Amino acid sequence: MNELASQRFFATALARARARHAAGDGPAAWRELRAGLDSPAEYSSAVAAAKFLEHTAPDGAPGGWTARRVALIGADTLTFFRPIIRALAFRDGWWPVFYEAPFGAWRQEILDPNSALRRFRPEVTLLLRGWHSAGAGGVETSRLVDEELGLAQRAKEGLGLVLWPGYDLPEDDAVLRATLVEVNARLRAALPPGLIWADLAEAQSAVGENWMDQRLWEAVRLHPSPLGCVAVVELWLSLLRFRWGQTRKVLVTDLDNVLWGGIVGEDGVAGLRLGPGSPGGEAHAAYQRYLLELKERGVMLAVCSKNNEADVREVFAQRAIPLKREDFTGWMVNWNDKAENLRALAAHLQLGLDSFVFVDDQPAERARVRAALPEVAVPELPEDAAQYVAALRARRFFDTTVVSAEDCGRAASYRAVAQSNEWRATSATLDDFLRSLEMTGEQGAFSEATLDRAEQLLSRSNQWNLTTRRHSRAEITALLARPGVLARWFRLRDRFGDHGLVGLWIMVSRGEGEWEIDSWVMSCRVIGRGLEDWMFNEMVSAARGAGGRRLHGVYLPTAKNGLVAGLLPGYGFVAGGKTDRGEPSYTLDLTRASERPHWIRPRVGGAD
Amino acid sequence: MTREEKLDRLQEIFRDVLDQPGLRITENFSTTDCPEWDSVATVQIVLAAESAWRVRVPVETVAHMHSVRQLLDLLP
Repeated sequence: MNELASQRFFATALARARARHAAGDGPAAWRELRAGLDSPAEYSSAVAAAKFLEHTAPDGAPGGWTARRVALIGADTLTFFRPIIRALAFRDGWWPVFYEAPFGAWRQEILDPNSALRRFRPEVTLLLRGWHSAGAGGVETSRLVDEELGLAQRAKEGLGLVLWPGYDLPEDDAVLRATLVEVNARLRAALPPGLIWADLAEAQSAVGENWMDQRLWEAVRLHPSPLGCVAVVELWLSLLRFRWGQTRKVLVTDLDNVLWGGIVGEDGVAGLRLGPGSPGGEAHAAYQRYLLELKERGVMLAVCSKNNEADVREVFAQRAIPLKREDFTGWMVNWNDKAENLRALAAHLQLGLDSFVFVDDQPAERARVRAALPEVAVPELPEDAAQYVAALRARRFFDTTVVSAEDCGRAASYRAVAQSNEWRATSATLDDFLRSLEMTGEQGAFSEATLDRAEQLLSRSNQWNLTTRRHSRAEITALLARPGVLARWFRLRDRFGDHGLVGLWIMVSRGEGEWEIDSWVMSCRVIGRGLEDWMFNEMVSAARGAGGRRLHGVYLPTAKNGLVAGLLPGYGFVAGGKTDRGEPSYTLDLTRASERPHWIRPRVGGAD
Repeated sequence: MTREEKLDRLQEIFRDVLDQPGLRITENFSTTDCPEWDSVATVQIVLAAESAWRVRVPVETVAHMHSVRQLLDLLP
């Protein structure tokens, strides 16, 4: 999709949305607009979308969209960011309620305990200041770093999730550029716990030479360019999605004219354009390498293609292509409706449709999936295959702040789940099945090596999550440093593969033999294996070992964790009392709790 | 495109940016006619016109635009 096609796509959607709204159908109008925002984001489109949204929802967050208080603070003109955030947050399913700090007053607003910013009590604070504000000519690295760290220290309380930006880099001032590279490295290393690093220089390098619009800087102090602003907002939103456990996990790809050039059923295996030596084939090979890179990072790959299975197998067997059949965890090569295929795939992989991204070159297929499955992300694709990768990267569907070692083993593990589920169908009873898995488990206390994965589990797990407390790495570290805190990770292997570190719990002492479950999380990959039974046994014995007599727990319901609503009563916890927010709280008498049977053989002496 | 056609198209842009669906503009329409037309609106109008006409508006116009005529004169 070139720029014009993308504008046309959005303009058509906006026109449809207006027509629906005029006809009195608000929800349909919003669906149309949301589909329009699947085109590559563009400043003018975002402005038009934001105007329409604010016009049609004058009283704030409409049904189904979570309202969140967002503060914008920074050195330059931030008003320009608002429509982009409004439009793209709407695309992501939430509704910002804005506070915008006075132009250039961000330091005072952070430092003053009574500032309008602090009285606003933001849930998200977005800070922006470009290299212009570092002061041209003679920036002293240490002074700048110390000043920023002092501010950052004050920003970590009372401002919600704070996204602290690195500096972007001037193109034409080599000295300042080198200084700011150094400043970024030092800031990032010393950033106070709780703040989230937003790597503007990385966003800048993706945008390239259009990062600044010198005219708009001179005329209205806009830094960076409108195009750059969109890239910054995409970066911010991806960091927030990660913290809110909304990062996508599966890329579902079409085959013909996507994974390779041409149509296998028409052009034949030898006629497909793929790799160097065939015109346009290099673009498809680049797309495949991008998919491989995603797979290495733990994203699952799946195929959804209308084709004859035999033809497709022949391509994988005969053509030298970067991807192998085994790289795909899901495989839907048939003539069924693609929306139905995606539903089946989600059930098979035991993942929500909201973790799917659907890549297809056919506008009709994209429209079909958007209409049938609004949770699935369906990016509009450029017409030129050479731009596929850039278009997908710009949306940051799969960005995580930490790429952990667990990420890299995850795809293998999900494939193991898919295989073992096929196995389940042929096993007699559930106990037979569980025994036949030959599961072994390890557990341990947290260390440096396991903290990244702990943060990921807490931020990404939605279904098997008792309290959905999204502790950051720094918060976990702080918690573990306190006396009266017990925490444990759990790792699971079976005959199909190593699932990695897939569960954890954290318990906090209330003193006098009373303990409370702060968090209890399990990856959805291992639901139904009885791992929770083993975790529960370990929880009871750890609390007893620390002199515990009673264990308290609370279930905090979200839209997705209904799975564990009955967990505590099921383990013999007795309901009684309420938390100060009104959720029922449960108590287990540790002197009478009994062991749960399970099929996991603990491995002794596992390193963490 | 005639001057009238250009004005029609610009009117759509002004309506969107200023969020006034019934707005009618003439060549003489200016910032004094419309308190919502501030520097932020100017940039949004310029960007929308630039992408609609594939032109680039010079910095002086962006910084000092106060009437529709200034923009109209630049459009092909």
